[in-house]
Amino acid sequence: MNNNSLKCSHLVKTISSFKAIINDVENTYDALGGPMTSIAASGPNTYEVYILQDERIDRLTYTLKFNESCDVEIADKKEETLDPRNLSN
Amino acid sequence: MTRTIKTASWDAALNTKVCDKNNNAELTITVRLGFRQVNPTNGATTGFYNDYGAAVSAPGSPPKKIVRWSQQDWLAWKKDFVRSAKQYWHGKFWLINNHQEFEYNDGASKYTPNIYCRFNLIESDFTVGGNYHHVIDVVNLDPSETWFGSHSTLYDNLDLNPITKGFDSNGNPIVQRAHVHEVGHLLGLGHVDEGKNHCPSSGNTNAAVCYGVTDIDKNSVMGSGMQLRAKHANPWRRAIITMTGKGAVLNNSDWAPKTVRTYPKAHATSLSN
Repeated sequence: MNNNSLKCSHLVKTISSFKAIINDVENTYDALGGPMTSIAASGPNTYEVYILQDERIDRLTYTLKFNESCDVEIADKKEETLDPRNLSN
Repeated sequence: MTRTIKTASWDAALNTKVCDKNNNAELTITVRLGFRQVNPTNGATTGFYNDYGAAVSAPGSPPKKIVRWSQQDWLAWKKDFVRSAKQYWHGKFWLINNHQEFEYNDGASKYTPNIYCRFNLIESDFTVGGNYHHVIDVVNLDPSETWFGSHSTLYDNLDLNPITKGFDSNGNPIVQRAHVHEVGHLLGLGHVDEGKNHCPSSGNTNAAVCYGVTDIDKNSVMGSGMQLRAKHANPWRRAIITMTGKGAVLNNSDWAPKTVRTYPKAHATSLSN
């Protein structure tokens, strides 16, 4: 398996995606009071990050894209605040 | 003279009988809290409870392990809550009386008192039909748990502890004891940036940006820190404006708050003249 095939494998792309997201959160999110509880795929190349805080839940939705070499880049990021008292399944 | 007003969130009482050449009128806001234990169900000693008291778990966050409150821990927690919340909010502001209200004589001189802002918090265990402004549920976390999602009417036993909520632009930690922030809400105060363009009052005022984007706002008690701002005197300003019918909260020169003791204003002319 050549290097590009490895980089473009689903697992390595997923790992690259998580690294890109974690790197962005570390560098841009500054409310440290509560924990990050979830990073989960919500669609192709789309991930939702949940960070719990007192009084609120912050949801960051990342859309990622890959170039031909399968290098990852954040294409879009949406920040929302959820009212935790309205949580539902 | 004593005047009182009652609101859904607090009561206020103005006492001018204490006025003399050194002492201002006293305006006391009283909040009555009914504390209610959140215990494991069916008499168990341990159980589980969702962050925020929500019907379902927050994403990726399993229910938190809780333990039954002991009477000793419950009493100690309540005592600490009341003592520290009162210590934080009591006696921090003097409102400057720009309306010449409540003038009095002491000796040969005439004075106009300012308003000393007092805070009283009365707690009792919740009972059905009790007389409370707010009912607060309190979770006792198992020692293995380190964090629980609280809000203005649901606390956990760790909420009295100082927590680092963030860092300012110089890398200094911004620390807060959550309950003093929540008591600010109970007094009617919103988040520090509420009403600014990035946190409109008509939107979700719990959004992260509403807790402040500048260092000074992040450090506010109604942001992520522990610092009082003049705006936090607004509950007392609202009360005195309601009692006197004089002034407006949006006019900063009406009953302007000071954070140092400001003695009654002595008038230039004495009664003997």
